[in-house]
Amino acid sequence: MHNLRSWNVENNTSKGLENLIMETISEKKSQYGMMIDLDRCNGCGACAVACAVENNVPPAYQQTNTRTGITWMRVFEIPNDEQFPQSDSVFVPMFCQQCENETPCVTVCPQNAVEIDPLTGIVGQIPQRCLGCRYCMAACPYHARYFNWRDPKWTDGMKLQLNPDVAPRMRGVVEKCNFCHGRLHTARQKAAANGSEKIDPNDYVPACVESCPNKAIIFGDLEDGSSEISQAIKSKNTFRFLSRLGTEPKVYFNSGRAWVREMAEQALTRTKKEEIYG
Amino acid sequence: MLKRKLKIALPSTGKFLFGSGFAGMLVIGWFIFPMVLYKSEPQPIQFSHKVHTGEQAGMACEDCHVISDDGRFLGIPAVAKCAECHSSPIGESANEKSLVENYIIPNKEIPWHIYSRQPDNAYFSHASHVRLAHLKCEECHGPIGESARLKVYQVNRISGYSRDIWGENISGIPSHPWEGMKMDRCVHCHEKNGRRDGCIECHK
Amino acid sequence: MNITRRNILKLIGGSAVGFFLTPLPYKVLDDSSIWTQNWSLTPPLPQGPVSIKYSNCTLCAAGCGVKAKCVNGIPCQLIGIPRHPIDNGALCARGLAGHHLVNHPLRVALPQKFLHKSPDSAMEPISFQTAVNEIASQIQKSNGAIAVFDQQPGRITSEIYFEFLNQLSNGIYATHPSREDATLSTLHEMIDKNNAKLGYDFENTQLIVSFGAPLLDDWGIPGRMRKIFGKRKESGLKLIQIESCQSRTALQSDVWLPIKPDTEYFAALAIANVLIKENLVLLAALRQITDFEKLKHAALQFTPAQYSEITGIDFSIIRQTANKLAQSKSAIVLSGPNPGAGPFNNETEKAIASLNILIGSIGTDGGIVIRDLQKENKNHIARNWNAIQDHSIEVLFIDSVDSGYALPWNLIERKLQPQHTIISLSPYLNEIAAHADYILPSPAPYESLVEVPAHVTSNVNSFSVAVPLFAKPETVIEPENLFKLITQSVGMQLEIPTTEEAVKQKAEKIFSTKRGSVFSYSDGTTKPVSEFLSADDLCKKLFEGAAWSDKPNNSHHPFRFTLNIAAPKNVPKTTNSLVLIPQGWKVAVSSSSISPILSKLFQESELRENAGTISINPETATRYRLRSNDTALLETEEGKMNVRVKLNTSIQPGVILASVGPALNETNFSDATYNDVLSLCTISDHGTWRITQAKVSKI
Repeated sequence: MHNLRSWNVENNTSKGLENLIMETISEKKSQYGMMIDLDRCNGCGACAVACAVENNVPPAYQQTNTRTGITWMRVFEIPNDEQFPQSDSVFVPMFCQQCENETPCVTVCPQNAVEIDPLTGIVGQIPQRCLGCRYCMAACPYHARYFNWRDPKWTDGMKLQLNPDVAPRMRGVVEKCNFCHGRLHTARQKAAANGSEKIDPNDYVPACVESCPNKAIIFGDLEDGSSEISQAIKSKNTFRFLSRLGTEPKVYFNSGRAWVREMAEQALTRTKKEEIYG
Repeated sequence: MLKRKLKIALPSTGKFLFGSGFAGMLVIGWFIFPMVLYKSEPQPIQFSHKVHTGEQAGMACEDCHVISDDGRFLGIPAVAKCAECHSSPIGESANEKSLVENYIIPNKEIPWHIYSRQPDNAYFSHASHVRLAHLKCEECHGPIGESARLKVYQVNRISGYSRDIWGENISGIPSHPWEGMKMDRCVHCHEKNGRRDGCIECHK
Repeated sequence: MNITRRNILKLIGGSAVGFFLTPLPYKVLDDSSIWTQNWSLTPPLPQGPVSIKYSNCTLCAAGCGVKAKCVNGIPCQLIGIPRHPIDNGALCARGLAGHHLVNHPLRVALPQKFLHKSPDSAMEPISFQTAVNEIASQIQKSNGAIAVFDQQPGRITSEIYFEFLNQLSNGIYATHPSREDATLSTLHEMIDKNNAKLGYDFENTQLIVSFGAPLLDDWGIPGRMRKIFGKRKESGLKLIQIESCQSRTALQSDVWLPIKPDTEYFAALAIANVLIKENLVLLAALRQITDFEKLKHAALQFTPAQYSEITGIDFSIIRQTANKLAQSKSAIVLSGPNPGAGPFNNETEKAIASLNILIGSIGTDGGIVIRDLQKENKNHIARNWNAIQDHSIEVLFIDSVDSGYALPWNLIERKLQPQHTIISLSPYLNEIAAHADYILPSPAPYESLVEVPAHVTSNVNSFSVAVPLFAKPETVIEPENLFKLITQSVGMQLEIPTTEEAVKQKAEKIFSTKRGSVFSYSDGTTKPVSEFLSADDLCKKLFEGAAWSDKPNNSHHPFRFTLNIAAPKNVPKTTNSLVLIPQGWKVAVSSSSISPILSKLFQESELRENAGTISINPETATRYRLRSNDTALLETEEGKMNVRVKLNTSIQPGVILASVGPALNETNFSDATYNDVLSLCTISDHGTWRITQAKVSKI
């Protein structure tokens, strides 16, 4: 276990590089992941709203549309190809899939504004570093990144109702889901106040998971073999979107319907228009 | 002809001008620039840490600057905290009188200028630095607890943050370990202690 | 020294060298980069202590428990209370952003008077006293009826309205035509015990047959429904949804019967037909029914083939449904108003309700149970909006609370006299308030103390208190204070308890019965009422954030039923023209009742449809040469409007689903150009607007 020592310059200068590396490796690593049971999701939208409130995502401007909006968590309704009344559809909450391998956004960012957090596996976006080239948006296979086309706008009263744990972003930068990292901060500082480095898993629950009225989303540490999520992803109906790309997303889905599982390998379309007219 | 004569006659003019330009700029950059860059703003009332931490009151930092149970650092205490002792003036000072009359009785928060205010996107947990890394307050904040007066709050006209974030020394080279609160100071210490953190560790 | 170009260059050269040896350039660069991240267009975060407060959501009658994270005492985030006995800790999407409503862009800060006569229909501020005097004189000289339209009956404010109207000779207390307990209230009319409050015992039921009730789309108490359906694998609960469109509930149902639009009446009769013909009616039930012959006559009027033809459902499926109903250990048949399309007509409601009687589900576990027996039922004074005579109302007060269900302005208008005065108590200038003559704003949600009684569909009694989370602005007035002022002006006496007093009385009543238990929001513990020391103790707990819930009332009473069902007069004709069905989502049918952040669902994604959108089957679209995202002209007998077209294969060919969603960026509903789809709907003689003949054409 790694321990921060008090600031003592003399003590630390004598430390060899080897020691530093040893220490970094001995740090306990988490791999946060999520699993969504699509058969339980009925597209109520609570997750999307809770997400926007938690992460200080502003409401839309009048001109904003589905292409220019900012929805870290966006729920798509995907129909099967059948006609009424054989039609069926599935609601798919889509957000940053936290790719572990060759993370497309990390690879392309010219600014190093995106990186995989070494301790949590969360793909972190630093809007302050972002120069707004939107290369990452083009690279993201899940369309899970959003660009601030305008400055955020809230009514004066709503500005006092922002979540103090997440900084609002400015015009011209890209943003995305980070598994409510602000809540991890809060959980860590709560643990720290009690003298512990280990957080209580109940303290770190992203807003979408907490708000889902159907309890369709499970969240936890994939590295921790005893966690609910690491058990749940072993189910035979578990799949990931576009797994053929090999980016190893840390967001899993589950559905008993075969057509839903097959759909996951097709490119996800942004609008029903694309769906119907190709 | 004339030019050549001048050049010969006043060989030091060019050098002199070069030198005076050089020196003038140094004066501007090192002395005048900081005066222009920073604007002094008075604190609403004067406050002596020394009176509180000294033998008279004998308080510790944590008595007022509390880390709450959920690990949030509450920063400068609310006026209600002051009112616990100063519901009516204890001493004779004009500042204390002002505190009681203008803030405690009408229950109004004191609009302090905060020396250590960071941008919203910076995240810092006092709890983990104090409780886990066992840093002492003085190691980052210096001997502020012994100060008898609040120093003048100087706000940077461009960035809008306090001078204390950059450090007293305009060169950015700290003369004391606690001087300056910019990101490189954080990184410096973390590196020294072998922490390899991602950006989002300290950015929200 | 001569000033030469060369010398100046040297001076500049020297300065330049010096410049880079000062901190100036680096510092300015650094500071400006910080400035760019810190400009005023990105709002600063609120700084201050973070605390937790507890309350209850009052956006709809469900009244879910709410935990609010506050910064500086101002709520910045709402979340449900885990393990809440009534709502199971689930908040709906609107409830999660309910704290924004205080700062809604459509909020009316001051009392206003509308000058509809003026060309731009301007508003002007008016003082409460002047407004009250003007209204009082209207009331005094009125010949027509004085009505209060209460969208959420059963509150203490509702009692005040009763008291006020009772003192007038021409008072009408009107309720919303869409009632979530439509089936229960229809049954209530049919049974001989009119002091019984009925409720659905969903927790123990095996089968639910729902006629278009959006059970899984925030109907009733959303969290309760989700809990029940979340456990369906273990409990074996089955849902049969009878609905013309594939709603979210139909998607999640076990069986979906996609009937033709507006044929629910016939579907219910078809099921009754099978039950009667195949002797599946419970014999015991049969003996309790007074006029069974009438129902029998109605149900047997058509042959199976005719029923199939009318409803578009194969009769074998109807037979299976009826058999499942009869064989199931416990079953409930219910209807629910559609948030957009409104209620069914009375005959349909009776037919649906009577199925419960035939299968004997009244008064049995897992069926329709008695929640409570009460001595007098004041609700009898209440009149459904549709029961009011046309053109009778002269002065109309519209209560501030939203029922969550759509309300076409045409429906209100037809009950009004030509010369009328409308007073809106809404804190927002929304679609309905835009028609008012006066807006006397009530406090917004979470600004006043509101009590939360048991939901009308609930099987147990419950009570909690929504304590204010915000300070009330001085420019708003509580309805009780407004009515105090009005009665004084009219010269009457009104004994009005404050909500606080009423809550205390209720707490004393609960304490004296010693029934049930109290669930505390802060620590999630449950404590029986008998363990409380005093009524004050209980009351204090309720104010701190707690929910009292009773034990289920297991009394089984034999009922007698009077069905009085009229046989259908005519068979609906099949036409080639398109039918328009309004579609909405509970609470989100009005622009002011949801936070602007709901743009995430309505505008920035396609999860829910904004106002001015229609969805049609691609087949229908091809027929009318429409493509996705086209702008089309939607025409009915009532009017026309421009709409955006969306294609969806799950919609019946020939049906236009028109969204009664919010117009999120609309700022002026009093503008004559503003048109909502409800104004295009034909209001039937029964006061329903479920179906309208319509035309679409490409612009």
